[in-house]
Amino acid sequence: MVIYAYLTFPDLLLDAQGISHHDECIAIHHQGQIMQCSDKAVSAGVMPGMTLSMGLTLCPKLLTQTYQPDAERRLLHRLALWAYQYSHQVAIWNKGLCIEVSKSKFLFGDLSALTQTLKQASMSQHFRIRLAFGYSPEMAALFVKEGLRPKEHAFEKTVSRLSIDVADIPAEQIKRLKNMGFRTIGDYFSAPSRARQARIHQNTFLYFNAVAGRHQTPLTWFTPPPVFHQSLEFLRGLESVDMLRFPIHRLTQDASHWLKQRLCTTSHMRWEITLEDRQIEHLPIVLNSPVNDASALADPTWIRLEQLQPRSPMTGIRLHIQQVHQSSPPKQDLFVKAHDTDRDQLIDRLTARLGSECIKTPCRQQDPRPEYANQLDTRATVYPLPHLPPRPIWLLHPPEALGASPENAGHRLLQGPERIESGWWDFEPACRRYWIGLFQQQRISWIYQDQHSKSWWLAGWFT
Amino acid sequence: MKTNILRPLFDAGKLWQGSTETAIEVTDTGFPELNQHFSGHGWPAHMLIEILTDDLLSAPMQCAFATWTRQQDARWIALANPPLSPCTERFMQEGIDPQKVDVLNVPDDQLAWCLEQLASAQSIRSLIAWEREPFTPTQLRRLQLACQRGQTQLFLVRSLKHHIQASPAPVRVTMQSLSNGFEITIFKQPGTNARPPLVIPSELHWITKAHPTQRKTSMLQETVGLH
Repeated sequence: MVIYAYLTFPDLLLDAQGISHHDECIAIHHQGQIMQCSDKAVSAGVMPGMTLSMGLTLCPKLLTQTYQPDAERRLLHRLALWAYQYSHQVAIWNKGLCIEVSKSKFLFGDLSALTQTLKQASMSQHFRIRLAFGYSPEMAALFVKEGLRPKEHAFEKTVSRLSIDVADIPAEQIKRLKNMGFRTIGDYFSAPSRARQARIHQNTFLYFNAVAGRHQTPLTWFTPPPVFHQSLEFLRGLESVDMLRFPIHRLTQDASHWLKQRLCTTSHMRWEITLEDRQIEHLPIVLNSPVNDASALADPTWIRLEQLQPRSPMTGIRLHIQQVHQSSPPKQDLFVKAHDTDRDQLIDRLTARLGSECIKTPCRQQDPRPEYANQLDTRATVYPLPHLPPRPIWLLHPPEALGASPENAGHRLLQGPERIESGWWDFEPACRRYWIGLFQQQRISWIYQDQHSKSWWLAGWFT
Repeated sequence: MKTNILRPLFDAGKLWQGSTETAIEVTDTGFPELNQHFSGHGWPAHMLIEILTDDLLSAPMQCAFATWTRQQDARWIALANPPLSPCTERFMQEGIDPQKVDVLNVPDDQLAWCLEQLASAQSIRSLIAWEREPFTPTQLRRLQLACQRGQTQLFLVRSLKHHIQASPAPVRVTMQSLSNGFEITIFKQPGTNARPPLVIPSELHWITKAHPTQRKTSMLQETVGLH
């Protein structure tokens, strides 16, 4: 039979606020009623279901936040994206996640091993989960509600022992079933099916069939979104960029999961930092090569952010990734060295901090004029070298004027000339005679005479 | 007993005594007589090497070129804040692939960070950097650790005035240009004491004979009269 895992998140509403609630007395309220509160608030006497005024009376330091359905929905999507790595069938259902694990249990060993994996992964993501398995989402949800996690062979027996009171149906329906003499779910199923169908509301009938795994509720399976768009909001404005380190880590981890699940890489990220004065700082980041590793996404981001000086406290951060590339699995080459892998990340770090123009590569163009042939560029273009006389180590851009005589400037001619006549096609003609010279008996220079003006120029140094 | 505890550090070349044979990895300097002056018979391959000189252009780059041409692999080499623009055709004439060369021009206050990133990257084999603002001992120590971490050789060209100051760099040399070459003095290196100065002569034999591509009619003796 098909087995489902049902995951609920006890701190879902608090986590949806994107705030650290472990050291604070915080309550989420809706229409004057507390829906969820932090452990510290519970220890101060605040309970879910209590009125907000009662909560504030019991705990004057209680921080209150309004329930935000959109934030809750966004978090559930984020959690679904996280759960997608364990099964391709994940559904957001009943404010939790329903995961089809019939095949995954073989991948991970058994249901208890899968439970351990999910719990450890959730701890590393800093959120609490409660989970149970069942033949249907309703069965698993009932086990979660009762805090049970029976083994697969005991699913039906455990369900039949559960009290009819725990069923997730309206209270009047429960009362009616009890009046019929049903105390447990097992009692309910001991009655003839046709008699139950005739006397009980259809929804209740279908619900109990689903609880027993005899009816499958249609689920809408989650698919990873085509673009990554995730944000975190902060309860209090962050005044230091250093405080963004954890949110960036979390967002890049999620982006990395999303990219890996889609077998994609990206080289373009766009960060948006919302300030308290409603202004938004945009931070586009272009990477040297497409990546899907969390650290490769986070490092250049962090280096760029270190230079940011926000005008007012930061209240939120958002990451957009739209442009993705299909990635191919890494080639398993025995001879691949470690140094082949960190080149792109090095370039990303340097360009993030120093700008894209900071790092260049010597290029050789097909031009006889040395100043055009030898250039530094961000893209390496190297045309083959023809048979040339020795070239100097250093070039002067622009060349240094030596006047009408090289000897007067301290250069004694040693070897030459090398004639270069070129550039007639781009209206910058060069008609020169290059010489190797000795400068002040110590250094070897590369000088030339312009044949039009007859003036001498220092073009470079050999030593 | 204490020696046994320290043995892994000695073997890894991270610790040495005053006069012992070191097992550190080296690169050929390109000058046989200079190799003999080093305890490991070459420039240490994974260390910070301070070149103290007032000749920023000539001697340091000659040393770097000489060792780069003899020790090539798939990794990159880099020049950070060079005093002038390097000539691509010269790299190619020396047999160095320009596509494996990075040239960086960074602000002075970012140079130490930049060098640390380069030195700790495993994709960089060797780099030469010209210091304009003096580094602190802490920055130099961090660069040495980065060299060890990334197995990178870093030639740091500094002003000769730092000669009298202590430095965490394990190799320190001074260079002075002469009319017939340059003089190099190794006054700090792992495994041995300071060495006497050594003169490396300039290799100018190629200047004395005309290059085949040059026309015979344009030889110095024939044309010098024109100027």
